[in-house]
Amino acid sequence: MSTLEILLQKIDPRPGFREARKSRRHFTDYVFKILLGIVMVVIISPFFLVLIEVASAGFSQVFGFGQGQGIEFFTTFPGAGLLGGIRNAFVGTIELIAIASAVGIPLSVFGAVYINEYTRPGISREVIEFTSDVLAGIPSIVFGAFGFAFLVDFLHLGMGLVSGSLTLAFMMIPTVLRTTQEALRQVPMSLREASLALGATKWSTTWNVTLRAAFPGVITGVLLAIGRVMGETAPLIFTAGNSLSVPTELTGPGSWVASMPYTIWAYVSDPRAYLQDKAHGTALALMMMVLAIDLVANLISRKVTRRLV
Amino acid sequence: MPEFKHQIEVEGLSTWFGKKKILKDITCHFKDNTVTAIMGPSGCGKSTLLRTLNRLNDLVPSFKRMGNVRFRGEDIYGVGSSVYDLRKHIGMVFQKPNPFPMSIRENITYGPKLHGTNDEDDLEKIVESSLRKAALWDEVKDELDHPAPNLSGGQQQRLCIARALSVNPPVILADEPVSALDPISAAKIEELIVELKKDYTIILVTHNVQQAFRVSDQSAFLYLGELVEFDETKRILEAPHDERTEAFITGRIG
Amino acid sequence: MSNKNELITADDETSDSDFISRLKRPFIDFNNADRSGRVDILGRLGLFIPAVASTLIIVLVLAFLWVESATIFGDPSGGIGIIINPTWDPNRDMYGIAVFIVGSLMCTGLAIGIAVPLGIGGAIFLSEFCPMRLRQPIKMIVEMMAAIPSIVYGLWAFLVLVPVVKNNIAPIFGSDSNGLSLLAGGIILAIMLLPTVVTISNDALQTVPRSLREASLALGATQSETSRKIVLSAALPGVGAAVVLSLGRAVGETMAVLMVTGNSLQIPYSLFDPTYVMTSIITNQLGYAFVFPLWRSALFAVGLILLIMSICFTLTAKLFIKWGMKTRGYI
Repeated sequence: MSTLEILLQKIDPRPGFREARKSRRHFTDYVFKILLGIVMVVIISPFFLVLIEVASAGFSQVFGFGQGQGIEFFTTFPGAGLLGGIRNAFVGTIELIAIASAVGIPLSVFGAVYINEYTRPGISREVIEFTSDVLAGIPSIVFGAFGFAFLVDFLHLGMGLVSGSLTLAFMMIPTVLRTTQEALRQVPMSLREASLALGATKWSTTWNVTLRAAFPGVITGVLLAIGRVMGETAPLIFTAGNSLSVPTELTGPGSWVASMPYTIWAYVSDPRAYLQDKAHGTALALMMMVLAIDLVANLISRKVTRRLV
Repeated sequence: MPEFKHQIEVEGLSTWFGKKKILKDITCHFKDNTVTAIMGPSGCGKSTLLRTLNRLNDLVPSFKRMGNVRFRGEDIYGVGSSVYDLRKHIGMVFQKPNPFPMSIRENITYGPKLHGTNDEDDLEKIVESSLRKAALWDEVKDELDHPAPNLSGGQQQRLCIARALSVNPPVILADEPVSALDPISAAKIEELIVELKKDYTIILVTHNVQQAFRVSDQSAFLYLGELVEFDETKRILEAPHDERTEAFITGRIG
Repeated sequence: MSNKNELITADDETSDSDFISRLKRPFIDFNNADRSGRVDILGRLGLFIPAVASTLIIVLVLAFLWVESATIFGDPSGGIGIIINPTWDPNRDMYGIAVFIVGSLMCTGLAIGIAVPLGIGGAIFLSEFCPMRLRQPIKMIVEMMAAIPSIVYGLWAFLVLVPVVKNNIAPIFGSDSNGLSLLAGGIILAIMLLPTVVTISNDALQTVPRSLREASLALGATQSETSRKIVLSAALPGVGAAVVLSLGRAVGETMAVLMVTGNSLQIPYSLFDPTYVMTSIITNQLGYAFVFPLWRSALFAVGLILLIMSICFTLTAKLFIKWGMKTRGYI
């Protein structure tokens, strides 16, 4: 017998492979799995706790039939004593997001296409990618401060719809830029080559083949970015102002605009108790909007991976 | 301890993944200190058969099985048998070299440590003897603490063999161990397998007839989940009884 | 001829040296190109402008932060020393921001201390042990948790978590805290980080090749031994990147932390003391400070420090990824 075999005899003198079911290792294995299951429950329980809290007081606001409730919650202005609905915030958020998307998405998607398809990999490309990675990680309040310093103060745009939505657009750029690049990178090189080999121009290859193939990925990134900025409060505090009605002008106090996240913040810190309910209602509505967008993004991206695998 | 003639005996084994039947009523036994090749075209169930022998298929939720597999006379799927202890006695080498992302030494000591060897000197001896058996000792003895993934493909695969040997299993399963390697490394591994059969029972999955001829003593030919022929390799390759075997050997199916 | 244009593009991609001539060249050939060739040139230009614009905005953000905060760093009452000076009193022109840095670090440290062990455990469960049928729903819930706006978490923490800390947790430790505390901030931050940690760690664990798990199991390891000793160690770079990225999120989180930490200008000595974090001071004071150059600049300096931290985290995450690619060949 070799040394090895003698050694192994020492470790496990039993010739058979039968081992008592309740050995220490089996037990540890079992306990470890149970423990991790409990950890998972702990991790996801806040989701339900938050949902229950928000829905407890918010449900009657969004789906009730009282004054300023149900559909009226979204269609009436706060009015005297803020007893009405949150039309100002609802419309404000929609307008802010619409303008932010109209500015931010084309800039970042087309920018990403240029960077990925038309430039050679090199220092400049890496610098752009790195700075947008950094920017994607910058706290939202820093974007708010930048929007305030640049748009409101430096460009004299003043607070309001324009400054607020442009700040949100700036926030979208790094995220959408990077996700678009990622989606473009997933498109196999051979697809582009096949198109070029047919005599197509670079532009028509990019537009008709590459971008189309990357489209689901791009849309997912765009939706995720929209969902993210929709819930942002901090960038709007110094750039959008607040208002009890919807903006009527492009500059000046007439352009000040409310948003749902800002309204939640303002209402929660208000001593009037019934505003807590309004805050819950707004939070529930905001959560439903954001989660719906997230869900769509999720479904699209799942379809994408299913197609790619 | 029950009596047994062969280390591993398979009796009436059928397996399913979900509704798809992969193996159909297979009965065979693997002789001690021989290399048995399991041949067949892709998708015939070679790997499934191999993985049923050390219960690695248990991880697939849709896996179902009928029939018996006995290791040293005991039913490995029987009540009370420990799958961990079974796998300690049946080593496995995979298609692609898959060293753990740790040092060479840690790769070898991983198995013995799991099974309760913690003495430094013992571990040191196991490292040396396992690497020697896998014909890798001379190449790596000075760099035992280097990361294993830095080795070349052939060295990695020999390290994986050494890792399997580290817990001294009487049986070694090898799932196309050279198909991902260059010809020179492959030849070394084949030599090693022939060398190892002195001490171990080796079951080798391959779709390469030449390799089976070079390395194995016994051969099983599987076709669409059926065990078509099971005999000495020489006999099968020189005078196949079944026309499907002949078609495979002459390269008409595969 | 459209392939003439094609040649130019190909040429473009081989000569990287002269940027200006690369920009000019398509225009020279515009008149000679056929219709699809012209579309190609215009399309290229149409993409170039957004690329410049989005890059410009990225540069602008960095430039403005730098310029705005330069005032305080250049002023005799400020200087680089403000980052270790603990006294923040704008009325006396004292702009020490150490309190906020310490507050942010403590809050983040607490949150990471809670979120990382739980998150990695959850990721292991999700990737290794979770029954197939539960995997998708759990992943979906975790992803939805990441999507919930921070103000909604803030609302919950302010109305539920803070009272719980005040009435149920603080008395156990003999503290008469009003609930607005470091602990409340750490917990809500941990809750908000968990989805990031779980999702990215889970992705990292999933990229570990199946054959490594099988090799470990084939040696007789149990599933829990395999997941701890092989899968986790093989996925370590990815998990490290997850931790660093969540660190970045934690330091930058604004609304929820602002609402529950009490915002008191002191360094907390216990979990139940209130604290003041970097993002909160900007949010609370920029509105009043913008007409006072030094005060405003000090707030932007806080923003700049947040940016520098963010750069460090991004760099560290990249290092982790590089490490993973080098030692494992995957991340």
